[in-house]
Amino acid sequence: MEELIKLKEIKKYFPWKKQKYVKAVDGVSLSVNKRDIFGLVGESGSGKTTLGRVILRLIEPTSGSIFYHGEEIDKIKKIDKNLRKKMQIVFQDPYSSLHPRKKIKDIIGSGLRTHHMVKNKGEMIEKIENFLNLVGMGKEHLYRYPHELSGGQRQRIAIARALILNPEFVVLDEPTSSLDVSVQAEILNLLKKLREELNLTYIFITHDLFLTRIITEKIAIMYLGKIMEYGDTQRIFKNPLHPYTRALFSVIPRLDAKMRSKKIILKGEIPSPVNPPQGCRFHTRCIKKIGDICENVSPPLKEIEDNHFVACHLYD
Amino acid sequence: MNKDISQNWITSLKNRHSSEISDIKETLYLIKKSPLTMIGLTLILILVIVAIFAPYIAPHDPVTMHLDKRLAPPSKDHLLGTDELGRDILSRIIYGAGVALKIMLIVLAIDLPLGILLGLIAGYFGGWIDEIIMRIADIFMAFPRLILAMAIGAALGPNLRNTMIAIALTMWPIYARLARGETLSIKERTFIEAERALGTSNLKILISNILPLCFSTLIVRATLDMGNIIRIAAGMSFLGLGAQPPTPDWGLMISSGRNFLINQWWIPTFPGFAILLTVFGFNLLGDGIRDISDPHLRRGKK
Amino acid sequence: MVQELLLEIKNLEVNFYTYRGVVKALNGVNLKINKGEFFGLVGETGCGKSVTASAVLNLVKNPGKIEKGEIIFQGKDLLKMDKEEIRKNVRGKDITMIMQYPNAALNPVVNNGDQISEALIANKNITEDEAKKRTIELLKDVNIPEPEKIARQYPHQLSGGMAQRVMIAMMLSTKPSLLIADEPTTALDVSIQAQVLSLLKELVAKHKTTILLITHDLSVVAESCDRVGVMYAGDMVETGEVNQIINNPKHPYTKGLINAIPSERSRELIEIKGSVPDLVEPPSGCRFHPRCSCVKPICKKGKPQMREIEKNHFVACFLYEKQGKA
Repeated sequence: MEELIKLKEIKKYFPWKKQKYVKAVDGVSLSVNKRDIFGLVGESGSGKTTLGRVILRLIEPTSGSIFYHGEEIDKIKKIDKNLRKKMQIVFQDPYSSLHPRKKIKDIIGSGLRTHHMVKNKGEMIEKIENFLNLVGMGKEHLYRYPHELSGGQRQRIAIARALILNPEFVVLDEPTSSLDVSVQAEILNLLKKLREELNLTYIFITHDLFLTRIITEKIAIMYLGKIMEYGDTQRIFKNPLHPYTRALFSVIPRLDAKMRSKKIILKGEIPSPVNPPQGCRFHTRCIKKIGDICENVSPPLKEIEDNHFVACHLYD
Repeated sequence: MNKDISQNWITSLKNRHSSEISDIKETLYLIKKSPLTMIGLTLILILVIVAIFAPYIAPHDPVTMHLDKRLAPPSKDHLLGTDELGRDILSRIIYGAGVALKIMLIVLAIDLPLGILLGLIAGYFGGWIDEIIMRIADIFMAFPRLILAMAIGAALGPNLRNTMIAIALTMWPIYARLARGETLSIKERTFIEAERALGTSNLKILISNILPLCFSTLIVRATLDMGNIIRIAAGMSFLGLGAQPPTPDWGLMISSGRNFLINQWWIPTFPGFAILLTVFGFNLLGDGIRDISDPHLRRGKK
Repeated sequence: MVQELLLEIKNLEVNFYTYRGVVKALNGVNLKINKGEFFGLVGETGCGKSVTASAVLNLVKNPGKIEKGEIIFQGKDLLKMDKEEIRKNVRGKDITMIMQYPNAALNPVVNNGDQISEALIANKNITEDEAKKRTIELLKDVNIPEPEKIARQYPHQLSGGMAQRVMIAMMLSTKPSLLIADEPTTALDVSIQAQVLSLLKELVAKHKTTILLITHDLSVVAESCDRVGVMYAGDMVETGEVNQIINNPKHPYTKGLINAIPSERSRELIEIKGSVPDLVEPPSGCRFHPRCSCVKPICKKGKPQMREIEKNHFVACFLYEKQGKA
């Protein structure tokens, strides 16, 4: 499996008021192979959304390295257009990710023009029609405005817009969180189909754990800017090791009473990323806290079983 | 055969623009629903028609003096009376509509592009460009508008052209500020981030994506400002800085007619009404456009 | 156990008169909620669940209009009551509501404690001191740590979960018979959602408050509710006890919904073909028929009535026309 993207100690600090920083991403390392569906999972403040954008260099990392096909790309001053084509993104909210006053054909065609991918208007229309077809929509939508379409349809347009550039990988930022459940199923199945047809790699950002289990193959569970647990999805679900992961799994609502275990209700709130706890980020809410070491030393990611890493002193 | 081809072309044109067509239909529906907007629209349409067709509507020539018929009260021949030089007041008001409209349009023709350009740049790029542009705007805005206009007008020389330049210079900061404010909020929206992700250049983002969204706020403001422009122009004419005689300018008519207010009330009063109705019409229209542009009112916008 | 009926909605029809046409938002909705119950109303966008809640509170405003139906609360038809009477004595007192974004409902310039105290004083004619004491009690009731400190703070200083709990405290201050919760946990993180839901369950148990929970999340309903109503495009399509709906769903839409959501059961997501209909021109007969894999000719012609197919389990579907009683 060829390694497509590698992140080494990526940090993103946003300046906030005087002398303080929002430590959105605080030292993340991971690697994504070609054709992976890699999940970035976490609650609010986990940094998953920021990380998604840093990978694309829509937001520049404060420190750390990004490797793409083995080459370091974070040091290039301005990201070059050709690289932009290879990495695309689909945003969470289909109601704000499409320009309200542009027609669908111009929304999808924007990238084609920028990268000179078509020679004339006729070719452009043809290509756009093909991609509309690919995402399950008819060419009658070419001349419509976003407000005439439903949420699910808009998200399909957003997908077409990203894929028409023929990217290698796509960051999917909670692509179905704003949609109705029945529409969610359609869009996710579409994304799976397109991955096969177009040989894509996905970085799938979400907070929905059961969705993660269905869609992703590898995941990184994030909390306050750091990865708590990382590895093969099915392994992690079968055998969650990190206390945070365990707590999270115990509280997600389930349909079947028999499948519910005792809930580990975490006390308190998620701490502010401006002042994250020292040492292990999770120690302030952890019921399995060992002691001083958790308060002072940030645990590194350790491989506990094949393709299953945890950052927790319990496993030192 | 030719008829078929043109029919097909019309149908395909209709299909491609069906969204715009229904948008326009909805706008017209909303306009019709608001009586005040209709009144404003009517008044302005009257103004425009009067201005364009003045030579055909006006009963008399606006500048010809008839010294034997000076200060005549309203009569069959002169529906609004004559002024101190025997000129027909109605005809002067009719031609004055064109003058008023010209002033408003030229001021906006300078201010809107200038303000939008500076506002977009300041808002999008921020940093020192923003600081410089906004400080310059602050300087202009520190003075009361009429005073500043008067100072510039006096410095440039009292005529209509210089009045328009002077007024334009006092008003551009408003549009720059407005455009900057819109840009600041629009540039954070997801579809702009999407364009950056696609590799679109900053210039294209500004012009094709941000600019079209600033229009409605700016047009509303411009419409509401029309009344202000006329007021200031009238004020400048009143003080002798604006239009010069014998131009049929409403402000000038009030100014030269003010001595006659007591005994020949019709001389300054009718031009005053003309200004009143014009300002009123633009205010109603501007309010109406603002309400109609409100996306919450329109169907389909979530 | 004798079930006492607290709220009964009969044949509720609500239309919205918009530029595009008449949106037939509620198509004759029937609903029964018993005293002390935790009832979940489930459905997707546009199904009418929020409109139903608004109707109960008499908050359906222009261009919406309640065309017909009865909303019987504690024996009295709210739709026939004087609007002033509802505003003074029912809404905010006997029936209260919490919503998805508590910060939108909390006054940003009044501190948290005062918001609750003011509501108490307005409703009960007690002294300021008593109100303050009761406020702290209420905050303790909703498991807010350091209630005195939180009472002095302002809404913007609260996290989503805390703000929601302050809202709940405020809405419980009048000891209402019915608390309507409209998507109260949708905007919250999973770990916080669990806290708020368990709090609501506790309240039902402790104070015998009846709760009507409105949500699109069937799993949330499965975890917390006693009975469930499933709505689709303005119709109530199935009601029953929670384990009946979850483990023995009868309506094709309910089945489709369960298969489409990511749950602990799913290995893949199965789509419901088609899309939610436009309620300006809804499908004839059963509004779900264009998307139903079991559709029969009769489904296009008439609206199916609710039939009881097992004790306490009702379905509105022509598949079950012959079974069950009306």
